[in-house]
Amino acid sequence: MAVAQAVNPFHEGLQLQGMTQPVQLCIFGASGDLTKRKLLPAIYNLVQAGLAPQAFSVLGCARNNLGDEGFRREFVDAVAESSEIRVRDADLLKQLCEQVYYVSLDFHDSAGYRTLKTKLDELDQRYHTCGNRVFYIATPASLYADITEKLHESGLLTPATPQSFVRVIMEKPFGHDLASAKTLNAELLRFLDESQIYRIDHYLGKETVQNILVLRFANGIFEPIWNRRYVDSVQITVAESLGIEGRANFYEETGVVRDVIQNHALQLMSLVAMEPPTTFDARDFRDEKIRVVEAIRPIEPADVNSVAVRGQYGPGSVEGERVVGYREEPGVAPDSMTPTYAALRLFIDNWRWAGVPFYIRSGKRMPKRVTEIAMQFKEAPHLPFRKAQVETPEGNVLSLGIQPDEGVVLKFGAKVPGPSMRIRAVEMDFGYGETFGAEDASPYERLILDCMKGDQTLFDRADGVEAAWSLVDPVLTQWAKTPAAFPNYAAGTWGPAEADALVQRDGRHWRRL
Amino acid sequence: MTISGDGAPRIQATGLSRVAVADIEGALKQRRQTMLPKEAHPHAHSCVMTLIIAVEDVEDKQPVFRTVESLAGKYPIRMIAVRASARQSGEEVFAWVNAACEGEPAAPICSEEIAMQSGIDGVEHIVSAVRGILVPDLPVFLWWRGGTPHGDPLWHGLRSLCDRTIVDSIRFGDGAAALDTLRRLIGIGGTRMSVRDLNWQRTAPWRAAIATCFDDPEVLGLLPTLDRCSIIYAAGDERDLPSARAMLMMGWLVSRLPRLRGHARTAPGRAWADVEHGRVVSITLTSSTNKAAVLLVRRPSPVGIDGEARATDGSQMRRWRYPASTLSEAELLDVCLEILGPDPVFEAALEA
Repeated sequence: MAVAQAVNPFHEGLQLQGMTQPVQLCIFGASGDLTKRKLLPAIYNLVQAGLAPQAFSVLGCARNNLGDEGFRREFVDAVAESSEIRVRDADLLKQLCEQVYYVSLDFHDSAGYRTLKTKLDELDQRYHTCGNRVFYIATPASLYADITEKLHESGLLTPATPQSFVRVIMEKPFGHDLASAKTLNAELLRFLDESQIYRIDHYLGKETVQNILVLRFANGIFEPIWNRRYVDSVQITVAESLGIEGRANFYEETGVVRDVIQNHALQLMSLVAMEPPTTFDARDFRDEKIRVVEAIRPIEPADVNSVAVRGQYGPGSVEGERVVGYREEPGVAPDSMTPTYAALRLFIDNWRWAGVPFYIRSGKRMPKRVTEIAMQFKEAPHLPFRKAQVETPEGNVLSLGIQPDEGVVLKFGAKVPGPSMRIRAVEMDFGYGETFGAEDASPYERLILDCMKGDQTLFDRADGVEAAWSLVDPVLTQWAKTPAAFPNYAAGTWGPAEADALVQRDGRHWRRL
Repeated sequence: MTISGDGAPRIQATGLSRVAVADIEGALKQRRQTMLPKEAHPHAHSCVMTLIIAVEDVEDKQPVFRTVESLAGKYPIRMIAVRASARQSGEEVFAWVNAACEGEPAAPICSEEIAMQSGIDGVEHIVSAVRGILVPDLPVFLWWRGGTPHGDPLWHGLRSLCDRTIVDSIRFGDGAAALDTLRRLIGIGGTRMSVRDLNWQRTAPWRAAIATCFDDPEVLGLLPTLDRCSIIYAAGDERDLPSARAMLMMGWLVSRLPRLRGHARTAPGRAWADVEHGRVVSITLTSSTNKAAVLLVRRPSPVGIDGEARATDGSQMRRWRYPASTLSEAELLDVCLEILGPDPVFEAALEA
């Protein structure tokens, strides 16, 4: 046999078709909700779009005794029920299901992993996937370390050949606090190299989140004004109109800071505040992103009350319907101290952002679902229109809509037609949906594909996760020590009065969304 | 405003209506406002490019618009179909406009359609009219939907307005002449022009299949010994000129594996007479020193490509089945519009 050429010469120019190496995808937690709602539809979409490799197989494993046929039925049902499927092709789905298998596995049982290895080796031979493996661990986070250790013991984390790869995708949360995140990272790194670990925060897979980078770094007009000289403040809102949707067990343990602020909101903040990376490769991009989080002024325990506000919703009305308070939700303790709302005032101690407050808020049962970043610019230094009626008392706002209305809106003053000088605020509105009508790939599609390609750019790194925990840890610790007067905001409102005060103390106010 | 019967939330205008050239912008604005539903943003008007379409016959404009409209959900486009008819006398330019919206009623994606026609003596006026209605500062594509453009006054007038040109070399005939036309368009050896070819995109499933075969390290290990290539294309007669598509495919293989040069051939496959003339029906890579081979053959039903790799002793090593649906003109156009930068692989295939 001749020595293999290192590079396949036929791939160049075919990147648009997203070609990847042959690979087998093994899902832990295959009978879980995430697998059904997100992963299986994403896999189907990748295959339907021709983005998955030809040599490809899927192996699900979970405790249930589903069998191959049972898992295939779940696959078909998941595709049928998903709203994220772009093109429904029954023949393709049938064909794909022939490449889908299932192994019943007790995640703590070493013997089960030997069975798993036998099955994976057999499928590798059958589908010529060249020993390339991606393990997607979609289980509770408490199982990550154990599963990784068992995979290691059974030899499944060692690439079969120098050319093949083994990668592991893990879902957030990565730990419960800084200490547990450090412990988890240390345990994972005993058996895996950092280059094999793909920590998913699905927010980074969203097209519009990535568009923040394009807006900033592919357009010359924004970067010169993207700093303390021109930016007055930044507001990041991640608001949900929904409550906890029956996930009391999860939410009681988690709360809004762990669920949203520590990951999604800080991801948005780092993207909007990071320095331009030299390249968009994984190392440069993640280095810059993490530098921002590390530059956020630490919150001292004594300062928690002045920079952070927590809230919990009581009964109220959302989108025209009466809803119960958090403590009345099924499964929630009647004296629960879990925050469903949090607001933070943060500062980034570097040259670009010195003195610019970043206000972050996130909550459940807000008046509407909206995620946006708003750059509030400073007012014009002098208005020469002395006798003008001015309706723009504040400066310009550039708002980056993440969901549900994805786009960019610039608010500025314009003269109202007529003989007198009247200035009114108007909006220049770019809507993603009105310009690029094609349906976006789901974040999971993008991120699974990136993992199969070996691109870690949009995944979290151990030091990034720990930096984010170090920031919020003092807040969580302080809040755990002191009870709050919950509930303190009615469902269907924008949070507690203290959150308004947090911003008003600086002479500002939350944007009316 | 009507919603189409297939359930898609499509909003249509009443069709092309005649306007004076000077009134085109005003007429489009008025149509947009008429069509947009109340809940839509009152000044929503997105556009990502101007697409000029040179049609061969004035009757072409409706099917061409339908082809482009099928992409409207993806690209809000200003499309301008132009035609300078040798059968029409005079310099006068006739114009029609329409606007078509698609998508959710509250946030429709709207495209604008303009058709212009004159006699052959009116080319200069058509070009000046087009120049005046290009969307400012956005890319301009020219889809040349005709035969060899060289010597056509409309081509010479329009090419200076465009950033990129899309052609279909299947319309340039067969044999070396078609590829020569492409090379001249691109300006190989001279001033480069950005050209996309729908016919090149038709080879994409074959290129993807070959690339995928060699993703397998064991098959990749055969590559250093593979030095001969044969491509069979569908033909009715052995005297038919070589298919442009087969030649493009061969150019690509030779550009990727230069050692194939001198040992590459295309041949007509008369057994495939029921397949559209010129289509690639098989590709075989073989070795002059051993029995290693990679073979790919068109599968008629369901349409796809069957692949096989043979080891150095001739034994079967791998088999594959690749889906490879036939792309419509709209889908091919979509791919051409998606490629934003230069396509050095295409140019290398032409140069090989």
